[in-house]
Amino acid sequence: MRYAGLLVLAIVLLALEGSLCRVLHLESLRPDLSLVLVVFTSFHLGAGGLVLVLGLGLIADGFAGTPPGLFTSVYIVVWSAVRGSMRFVIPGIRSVQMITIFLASVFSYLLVALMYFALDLGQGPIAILLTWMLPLALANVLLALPVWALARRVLGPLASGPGH
Amino acid sequence: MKDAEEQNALDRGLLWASGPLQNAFVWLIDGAAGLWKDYVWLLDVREENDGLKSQVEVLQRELANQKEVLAENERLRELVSMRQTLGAHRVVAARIIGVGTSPISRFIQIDVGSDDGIKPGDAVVASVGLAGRCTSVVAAYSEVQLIIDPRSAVAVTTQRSRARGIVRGMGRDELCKVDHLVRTADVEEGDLLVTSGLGGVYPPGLPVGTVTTTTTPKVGVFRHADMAPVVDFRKIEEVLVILAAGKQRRPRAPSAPGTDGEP
Repeated sequence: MRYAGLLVLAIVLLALEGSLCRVLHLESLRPDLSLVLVVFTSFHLGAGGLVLVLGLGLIADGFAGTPPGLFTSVYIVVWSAVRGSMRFVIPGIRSVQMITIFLASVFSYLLVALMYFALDLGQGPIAILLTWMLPLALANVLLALPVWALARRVLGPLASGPGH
Repeated sequence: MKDAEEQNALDRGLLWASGPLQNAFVWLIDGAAGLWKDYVWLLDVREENDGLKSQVEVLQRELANQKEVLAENERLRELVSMRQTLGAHRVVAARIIGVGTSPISRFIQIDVGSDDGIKPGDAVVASVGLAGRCTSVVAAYSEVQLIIDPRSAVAVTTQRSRARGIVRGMGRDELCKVDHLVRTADVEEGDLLVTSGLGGVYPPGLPVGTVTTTTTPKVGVFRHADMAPVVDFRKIEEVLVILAAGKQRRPRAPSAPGTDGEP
């Protein structure tokens, strides 16, 4: 039930972001809040978090209007990579978490660019991603604190993984 | 009034004595008046000032609202003008309620859906030209793929020379590319591109953009061009959806002998 709550939170956040972007006109500076939640899931939930990641990917695909499954597959790779890297870092430290979000964001945008290239979906998006990758990753890091705080509230005692 | 000769010593004495006194009184009165004016009266002025400030704020808000209403009125007027150019097509006006959250795709969400007769594939226009087409539709909302989305393709023709091409989005608000222009196509910078109607998705003749640059490679069948959309996608707030059911077929030329006519 709380897992469903996190998906509802993702929908609310993405809807809010979409409405704000309509007003703010920030070109391609559109932070990936669902990726922020994916990294949260990697830190705080066990292997069962994969189900959530699938849900988050489908929601992100729906909101983004990108080819179906693009974000879902990227998120699964990112989730696996972050979980794999947790053996080498102390996940409970805030700075480690923030750096992880930054690196995961860059990794995710590179993966998306690679998929656009592989699927021959045009050079335009690749150029945009390469141009905006760092500002987007920074924006994700900045928004991670409030988003994670909300996610902790939603998940409650379930958010007690190694990153807690 | 006494003449100068009539002024006696008493008069002069009084004047001598009262002059400084009056001068002192004037000083005192002026000082008191000044005190009143500069300090005591200012207390009222301050209150008045506060009142005026709040009135100014109210008026500024009202002015901003008026400007907003005027701007909206202007946009709607342009939209109505576009509505008239669409002729017999049935259209539904919609307000944009959100944009896609991906940095690379260009989608918007509008506040009309299947309850209003919208179907996937319906063309969407802004006040000055083509905006995109509906891709997914629910009861009260629809998602619109803009022509600047990287996966969008619109069959166009130049208004001047009728050269045909395909406009593809690049994920940028101000730039699209034009593919499949034959090498010999007569295309110049500044040419207006309009929908050709090929493919049946968009009605013909809708303004799409103006050619900004053209390049002809040394080899190859096609030449390339860049296009600036006529719609400012950073500013649109309202759109018109052209209902598929209301689309009209272009009047066909009479069938030549030996060709297939419309049944």
